[in-house]
Amino acid sequence: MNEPAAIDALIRRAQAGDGEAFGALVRTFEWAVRAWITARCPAGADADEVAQVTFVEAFKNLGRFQPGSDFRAWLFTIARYQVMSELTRLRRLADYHERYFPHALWQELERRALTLDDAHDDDRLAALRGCLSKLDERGRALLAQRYAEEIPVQQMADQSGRSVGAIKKHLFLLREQLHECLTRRLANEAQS
Amino acid sequence: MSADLSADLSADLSGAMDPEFAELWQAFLDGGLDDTQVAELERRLRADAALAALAGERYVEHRLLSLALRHEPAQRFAQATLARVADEGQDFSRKVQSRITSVATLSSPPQRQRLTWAHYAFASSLAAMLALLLAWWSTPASAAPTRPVATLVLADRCLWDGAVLVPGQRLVNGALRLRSGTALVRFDGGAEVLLSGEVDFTLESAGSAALQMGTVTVRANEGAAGFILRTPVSEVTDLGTEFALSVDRAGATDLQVIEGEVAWRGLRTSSANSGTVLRQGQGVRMRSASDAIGEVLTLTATSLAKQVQSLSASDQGRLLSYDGFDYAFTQTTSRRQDAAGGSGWRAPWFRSQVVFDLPMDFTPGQSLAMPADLLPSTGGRMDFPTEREKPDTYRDACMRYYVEPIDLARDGVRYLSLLVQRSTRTDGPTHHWFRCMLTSETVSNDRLGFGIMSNGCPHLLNRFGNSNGTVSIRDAVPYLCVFKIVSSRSAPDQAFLKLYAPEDTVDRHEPAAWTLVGQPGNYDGVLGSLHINNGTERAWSVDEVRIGTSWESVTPRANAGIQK
Repeated sequence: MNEPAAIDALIRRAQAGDGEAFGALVRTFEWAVRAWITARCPAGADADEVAQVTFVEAFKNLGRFQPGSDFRAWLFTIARYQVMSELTRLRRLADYHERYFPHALWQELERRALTLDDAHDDDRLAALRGCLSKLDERGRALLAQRYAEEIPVQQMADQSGRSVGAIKKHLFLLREQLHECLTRRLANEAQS
Repeated sequence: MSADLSADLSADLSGAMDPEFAELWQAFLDGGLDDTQVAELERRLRADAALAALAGERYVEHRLLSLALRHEPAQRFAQATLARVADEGQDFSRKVQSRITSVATLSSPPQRQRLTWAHYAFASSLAAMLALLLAWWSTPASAAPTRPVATLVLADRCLWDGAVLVPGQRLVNGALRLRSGTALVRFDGGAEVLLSGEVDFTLESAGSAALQMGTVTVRANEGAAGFILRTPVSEVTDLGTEFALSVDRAGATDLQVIEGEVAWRGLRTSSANSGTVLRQGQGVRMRSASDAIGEVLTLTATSLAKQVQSLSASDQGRLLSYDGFDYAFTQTTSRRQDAAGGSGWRAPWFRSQVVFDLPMDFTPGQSLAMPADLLPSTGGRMDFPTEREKPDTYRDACMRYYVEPIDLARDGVRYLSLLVQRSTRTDGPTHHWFRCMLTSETVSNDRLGFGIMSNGCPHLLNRFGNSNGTVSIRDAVPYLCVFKIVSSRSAPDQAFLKLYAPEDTVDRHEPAAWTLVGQPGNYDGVLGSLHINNGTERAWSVDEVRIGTSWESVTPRANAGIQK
């Protein structure tokens, strides 16, 4: 589905009013866009909301898109503006929040949002999923509690009967291992 | 930790991260950073660019983990997105007429369509709707549901077409026609646009607008990158910049870059073309939508800051009520009517339990210090002592009726400022709070206000839900509090609070970021009196109370036009 000719055909059909074709475009680029946006939005931002708005904006402006051009780049340009708007909105909402988010890291996120060169976070996401599958059940369950269910560490400790320190340490080690795994996988993919 | 991890999970952690940084980083990701640690993390990241880049990488992994671990049905995102496209299409088909009204949902973001299963029903009818929608949306100035996208910050001798707008008012997406004068509009995305003279302008979203005719100057700081301004022939995108744009009646567009960089392209040039980049000092005239080159212009535009400085102070709102507590006595007991200083009040100060004729306390000749840029304080201050012998947890409020009550059922904007200082003097461990409320004379529960909680953090009080800050004030330090209420006839009312410590620079005009943003809610009462009280176990002082119609009127500069 990622062949340029196939994408072009979908775009032309969508521009002619074919809803199924636009749906196919959304499914094709869903994970690339969601991963890129999620990676650039701080916790507290609704990354999926930003991703949805990106596709809605793409749809609204599809009439202006020139078939034959790079649709992915065009889509990511829209995503970039949406992320910048979200970052600005968050900053505006309450400057107290910033006091718990280092400004230097915020700037790093903004820098990344302005750079489209490394827009392959879908590959990174796939590699991360691969690394997660290598974890044992206990580790995966702990990460799922923290990241999917967004349970605070204190509550995780209360529920499991472990100390907060032990939970934090465990999370730290799991993240470090995933980082090493991810680095290795991406390096291997780059070589092959 | 499992021992049966596969080979590619066998991490060598020895050189992964400096242990001290790792500790800070872990606390940042999992919660528990205190102020000192935030400052230390910031210092380390700022001092070491490589570390900042590494932190960025790790943060990406942290964020992607939430996506990778999420369990969601296949197609959920795509179906909800397509349903949302259908939703927006339905809104569009109603052809909602864009208009400028005063609205009070304020900075609450546009109503967001979440990924809900209810949307799936819409998805099935999407295909039939798409053809129609695409035709509509291919028109650049498509209508959209109205929602607030910007704030009118300044207005100098403005004559608007079809509306009366005042500074502080929220602006919804749609047409904005200025017949004469100068107006500064701040978009929620962060960009500021100064409209001068006759201007036909359309607010499209928090990050985009269209200029049909007239002259504007745009400043979009680093945080507002990506602001898009369309003209009949071109699309201009800021890249962290300040630029001036003029469109004549034929649609020809003059673009001048005052600072930073701008990308522009003719509207009918390839959409894949991200545009030509103009740098500081460069200008270009575009005559048609297929113009890809333009004619070179010489820079003649003036910076937004210089233009704003030259605005008349006469249109910067009215100070309605003021008290600097220039009283000669330390207490009022039998002569309550003595506490009648200042201007713009309907009665003297009194205690809410007036039947007991409770005294109010003042310290003559010792005022709280204003931040350096503002008009200095004069006279004395009002004091709120401890009162532990009282059986309640609060002291009875000091109250005063002000002129021009705030009718929350009407469109309007009102500001209140005061200096507040928490004493080091305590008389117990618990009830240390301070509260300043505007209360209704007509609806018993309608009141809006702000305060400092017993833990020293500010909060906004609202019967639809309080908003609490997380950073404490310091003892024996005067803070300037600026409180804003936006009321609306047809939309929720909302309040805002900004706190300034003595070392802070007070914003010359209404700030883009508030310390706290209140919950929107519908009130109908008329707020006519000011109530200030405190917990029984901590002493507080208050000074320089101002109520006015604009930010400028309640934050008078040391060398500026609005006098108290």
